[in-house]
Amino acid sequence: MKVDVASPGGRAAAYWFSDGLPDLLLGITLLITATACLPWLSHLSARAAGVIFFFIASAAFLLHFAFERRVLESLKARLTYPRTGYVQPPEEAERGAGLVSLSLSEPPRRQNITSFRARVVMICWAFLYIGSNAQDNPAWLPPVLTTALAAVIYLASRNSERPYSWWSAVILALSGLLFVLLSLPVQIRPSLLLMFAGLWLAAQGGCTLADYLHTNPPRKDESR
Amino acid sequence: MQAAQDVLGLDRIVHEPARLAIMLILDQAGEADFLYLQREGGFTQGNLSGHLAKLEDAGYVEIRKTFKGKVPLTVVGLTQKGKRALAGYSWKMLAILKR
Repeated sequence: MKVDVASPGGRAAAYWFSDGLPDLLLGITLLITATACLPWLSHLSARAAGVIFFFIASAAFLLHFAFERRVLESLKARLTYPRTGYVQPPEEAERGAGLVSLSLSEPPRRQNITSFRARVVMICWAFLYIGSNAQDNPAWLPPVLTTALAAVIYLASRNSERPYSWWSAVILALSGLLFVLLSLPVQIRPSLLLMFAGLWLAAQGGCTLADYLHTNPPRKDESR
Repeated sequence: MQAAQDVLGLDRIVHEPARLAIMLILDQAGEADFLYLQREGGFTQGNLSGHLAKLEDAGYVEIRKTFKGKVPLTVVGLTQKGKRALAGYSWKMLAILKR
């Protein structure tokens, strides 16, 4: 992953994502959630499946972000520290910081950093709500939703410490076409979409981690 | 003439470019270890240690020993005095340059 952020604070925050572990962990969470839901969602009505899946996915998001920092700190201590040194992880978003940064044409760098995660998660959540609760679930909805989601995530993250590349956004946008081509049952569409997103994130995170471990050999001593 | 007097009155601990870079990195990044500072600022080990010792003597940075998992970790962070010194330096420098 190439990160081009100008300020020292931006580079320090980008450092948190440089080993790929945050993407890998979120990808695995999404994969587990979607895989656990897939077998029994097809037995429900489309409406019930949509509502239940939305609540389960929301709970998974909340659990993930409640324990993410602790799990990542532990994984980083075992896998990636002290290969490239240590810097304090980016601060959590203060309440309302996301709204402030979205409403400013050029938000202050620190606010932009701290609001990144809340912004992207809120975007995903909103699209998940629309996808899970849409009336009739027309066939054109998945490609339109994935295209809109890809565009919004790309635009919202391009100046942040974890920018998503244009080709990553294109793949996410095109994934919606699979649902049209395969004419999948309405009940399992949201969970399959989540599974695809998890697989894609885990693959990106895994490749970044492999590259990071290969490029930065372990050190025997502490970094001083 | 007054501007020249003001420049001479700047905090010389902060004014040195390498130390200013260290303080700016720590101000925005929070805490960092030696290796991160070395890579970020392009310092040699001896150069960085020397500048950090001066900043520590002035009370501008705090060097703390801790553990990351089972590996020892030495982290550096700005003290309140250091933050005030950096803010004061920025304010004075901006005032001089605006004249």
